[in-house]
Amino acid sequence: MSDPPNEEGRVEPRRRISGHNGVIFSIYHYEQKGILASASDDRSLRVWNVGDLTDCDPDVQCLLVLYGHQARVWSVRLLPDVIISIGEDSACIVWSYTGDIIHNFKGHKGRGIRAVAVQDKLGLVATGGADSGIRLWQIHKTPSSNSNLLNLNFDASKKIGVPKAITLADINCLVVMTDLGFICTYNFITKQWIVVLEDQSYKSYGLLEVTRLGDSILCAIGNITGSIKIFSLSSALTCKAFKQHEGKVHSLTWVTSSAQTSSDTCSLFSSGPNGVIVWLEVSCISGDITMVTEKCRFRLPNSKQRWHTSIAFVPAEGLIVCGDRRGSLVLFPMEDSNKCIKDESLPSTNNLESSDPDGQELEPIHVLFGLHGKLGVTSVVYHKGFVYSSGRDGCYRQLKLEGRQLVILRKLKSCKGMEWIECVSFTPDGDLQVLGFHSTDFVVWSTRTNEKLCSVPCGGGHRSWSYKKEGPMEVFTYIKSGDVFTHRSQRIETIQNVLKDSLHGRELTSVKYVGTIDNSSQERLDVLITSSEDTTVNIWAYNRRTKLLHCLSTISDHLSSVKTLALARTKCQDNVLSTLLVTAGGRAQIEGYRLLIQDKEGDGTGTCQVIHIASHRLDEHWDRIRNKHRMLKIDPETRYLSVAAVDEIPSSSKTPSSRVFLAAACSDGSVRFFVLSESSRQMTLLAESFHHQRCVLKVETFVHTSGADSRVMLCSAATDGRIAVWDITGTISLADRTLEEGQMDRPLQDLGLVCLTISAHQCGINSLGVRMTMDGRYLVASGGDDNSICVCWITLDQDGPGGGVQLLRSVSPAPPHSALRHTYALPQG
Amino acid sequence: MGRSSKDKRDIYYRLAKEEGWRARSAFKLLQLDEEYQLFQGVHRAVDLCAAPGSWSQVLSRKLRSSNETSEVKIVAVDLQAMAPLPGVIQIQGDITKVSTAHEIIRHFKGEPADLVVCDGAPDVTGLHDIDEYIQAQLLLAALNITTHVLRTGGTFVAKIFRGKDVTLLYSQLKIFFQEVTCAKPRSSRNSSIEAFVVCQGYSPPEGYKPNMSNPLLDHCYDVDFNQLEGPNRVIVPFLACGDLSAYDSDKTYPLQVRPLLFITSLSTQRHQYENLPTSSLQLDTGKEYNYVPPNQPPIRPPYQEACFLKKNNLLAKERPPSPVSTPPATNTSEEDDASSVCEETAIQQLSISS
Repeated sequence: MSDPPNEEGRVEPRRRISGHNGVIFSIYHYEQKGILASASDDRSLRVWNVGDLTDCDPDVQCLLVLYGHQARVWSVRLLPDVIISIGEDSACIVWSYTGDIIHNFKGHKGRGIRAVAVQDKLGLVATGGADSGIRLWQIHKTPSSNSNLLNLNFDASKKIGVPKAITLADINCLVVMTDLGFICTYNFITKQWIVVLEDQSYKSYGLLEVTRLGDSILCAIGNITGSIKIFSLSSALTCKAFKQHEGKVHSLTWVTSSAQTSSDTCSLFSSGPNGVIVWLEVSCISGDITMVTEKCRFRLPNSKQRWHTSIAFVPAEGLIVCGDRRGSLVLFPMEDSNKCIKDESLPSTNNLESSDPDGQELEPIHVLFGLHGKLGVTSVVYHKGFVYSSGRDGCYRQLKLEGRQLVILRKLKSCKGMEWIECVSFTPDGDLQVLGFHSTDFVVWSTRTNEKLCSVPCGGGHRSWSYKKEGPMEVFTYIKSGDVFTHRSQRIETIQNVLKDSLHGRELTSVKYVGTIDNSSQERLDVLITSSEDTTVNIWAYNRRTKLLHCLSTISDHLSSVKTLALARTKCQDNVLSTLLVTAGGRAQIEGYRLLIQDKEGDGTGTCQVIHIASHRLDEHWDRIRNKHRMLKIDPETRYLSVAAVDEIPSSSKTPSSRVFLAAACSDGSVRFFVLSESSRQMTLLAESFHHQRCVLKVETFVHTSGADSRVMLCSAATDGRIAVWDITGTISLADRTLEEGQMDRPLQDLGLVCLTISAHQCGINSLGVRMTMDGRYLVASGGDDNSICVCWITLDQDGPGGGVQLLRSVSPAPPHSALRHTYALPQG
Repeated sequence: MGRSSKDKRDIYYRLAKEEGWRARSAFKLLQLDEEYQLFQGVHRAVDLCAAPGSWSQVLSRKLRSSNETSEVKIVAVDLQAMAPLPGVIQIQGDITKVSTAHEIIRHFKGEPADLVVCDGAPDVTGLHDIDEYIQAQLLLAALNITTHVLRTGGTFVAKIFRGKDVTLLYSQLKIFFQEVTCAKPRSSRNSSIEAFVVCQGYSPPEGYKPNMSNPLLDHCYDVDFNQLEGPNRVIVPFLACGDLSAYDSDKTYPLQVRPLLFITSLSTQRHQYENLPTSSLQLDTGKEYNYVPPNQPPIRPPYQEACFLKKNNLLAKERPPSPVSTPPATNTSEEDDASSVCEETAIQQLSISS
């Protein structure tokens, strides 16, 4: 239907629509409504009223200018009720025609969403990210109909005081404690407040904890004089009161566990002065508390703020894991002393019983002191053989129990900027969720889908809050300026959110092949590791039959881009693939892990247990040795561009298999030499050399054996096109000696002398490979940024000059066309 | 991560700011000139895709200082606006239009140019194949306009991405130039696929008529072209340029190291510090590191308004409505609250109303 061309053979535009301040990347025409949308480099999208396009001179008006993306907007779609846009900020935004954001779907990693498809009838949006992931989202056409924020107007009656502590018994029942010692409940269905209890001795300071046990709701309150009351909400008359502590009750925690003798019992832990924790077992049958037993007393390690914050049972090991306010994780035996049974046959429920004076406190079996920093541990959970802890340090950790000791496996972070983690929990289907405050929002973060499942703009960082989810309904409640606020929403679960896993958010930097395992259906899984500029390392299982790549685990400990990977000590035993992984990259950061990869029962995908062994940061290293020498502090902006492990242990050396030596190519012009000790979980910088004076790009190691003698050789290559060959045998044996003697604090050694320098290229060497040939010589192949490949043969002879390393021959085949990024020396034959 | 972290990571970035260049790419042209003496005898130079203007700055400083007379003319072309530079005539125009070529010639009073340079690059997408293709398109567009404005025997320098089909580009350049070299200045990072083609001795095929609608990459693409061997194969020599003693663009230098000014270091001081360890000579601990801000921020970038809105918290956000008060419960069973303060453990039912 285009107009006829003019005399130059061109079709004249009828109308030029302008308004954007940048390039327009895409347009979308919605014929029925007579509107057009455009997405632009200026980070806005605009909706234009174009009317009927067959009009000769359409009257075009700009209806909407929508700014909401944080980067360029790539594409836009118009639907009857909503507008959908995708952008370089990895967000997919659903807008209303009033210009409000209904949803901001985030979840793709890295550099943007590139493709979008919409199914209006089902309200589905599919997005394809630059991270190579595909996701499916559900549009809910109005934002407020199924989620709302309510002010419960608690302050209406001043007589019962202002709320101090709140907790949800379930999604419909809220329990509030006031500064005048009142306990009342609010029912969200009947919208009624009920005062359950009032006690003057709980004025101004009071703790409130609630748990569900069968059909009953149990409450525990604690006060400043050390008294505790336990009652069921349905019959607060049968209230049990005890004086448990000599002073202020610092914390109360209910723990319900399958390990409990019957389904009618649960445990209450209370912390008093001097780090004393009392474990009470409470039995409750149809709303009546039938028995309260003091099981045991514990004592926390010494610290200023000495009380527990969280408790988890590890029934299989007979242990209790406790997190405290000092940030420590403490292990206690689950000792059933049962020696001081409370006399609950006494008629008076108001009787304050004093605690048993001879109560002996059990000391911890094992303490990880200050693990989560000074701001404390916020939660501990035991799930499928692992302990998980979270803290105000913005981290959560995975630990295991080994020989009645806690062993840290990994330290993890949730979404970027979420520094206030309140707790971690597992959904029935095994998704680890992190709850906490992210700037001014309360957030529920799914570690499986990498997205915020729930986000409530509550102002952030509330002392007293509560979150419950039952079915699709979720409730979050908090106290703000003397009032109780509640956010209720209905989360509509989509069938499957992630249609295809993302690979990486940014460019890949390294790939390593680990080996294979067989799954239960006799399918072979290839295990691969990738690193990326997106600061993460992924461990993958590739199923040879289904040809599907499945992410087993993600490591995100790096602060900056991960440039390189190295593997050592790889072995496969009983279908468990075990390897030592070293990752290194920007900000002079190097990390060491033990990976255990095995088949996962059930779905045949495999699992990977990641154990963080040790890390090394140059800035920390320099901080430690500060003032020891007046030296030039090389900045930690140094990047490690390549690492190589000395994997083969020469027969003549004393290196134990738990010790791995590593060489790193550094952007500050040095080659650094580290030792990673798995047994002592330490990584130490042993030696460095600034021989190259240029940014070092590649390192490789090999072991030369002739007769009984072994020599460990190192090759390094830099941006000036030179390859240096080092003999590091002496460095290693000296390190082995000092490590055996336990001298950890030695001055840095020099890496030793360069045996040979080869000028292989005009400029940077992007790849380097070394192989032994049949005749006992070594082939050194390199690929350069100057479009050439260089192949050299070198020989190692003990007695010759320069350590006996000689260059025999060097050839450069005809140059290929483009810059070489990788070469690999293949074994002969 | 402070504002100085980029200074630590990239010595040329820091040097560019300290020497007053608008971008670090100025050093690339300086190092290319050092190798090829590009500016010798040049009176009329064109800088294509000039913004923000660092190459124009180099042309201006180098050409105007060596030629005392005012016969030096430099024309800079870009679609985007560029801050003015002394001795540089600016054209805000499209390099694919004949009118732009005519305008250049008009500024040269009808004379053709001696040198055409182009450091233009697309906004990289990160998808290497696409980036390489778009860069090749851009280079050929630059070549097209160059055939309109360059004198016979003149020089053309342009940025190139060395992808797998780069031979095709070389072959097209070889039709027009006697000598084509691929050069990588030391200031161009090893981690970047960029390089520069230096095309010397412009000699278009006999009877060639410059034409802006020359098809670019598409017309003679032949998959087998790349596989040619022997004398048929197009081989373009590669040259790394810039002395080995020049700063290493990939190396991290400590901030205490005060870089020697580049222009002086190029000629006079180079031999003094060659072969000396970095830390001993250039270390100037007496002098504090001072952060220098970039000296030419972008002019009216497309994201300006979006950034303003973001800074003032005016971007649209996903927000639930502000709190709504619940209506007080209707079921009032007890009126007299005062008397209802009752004994411990007693159950009280009262409604809280105002």
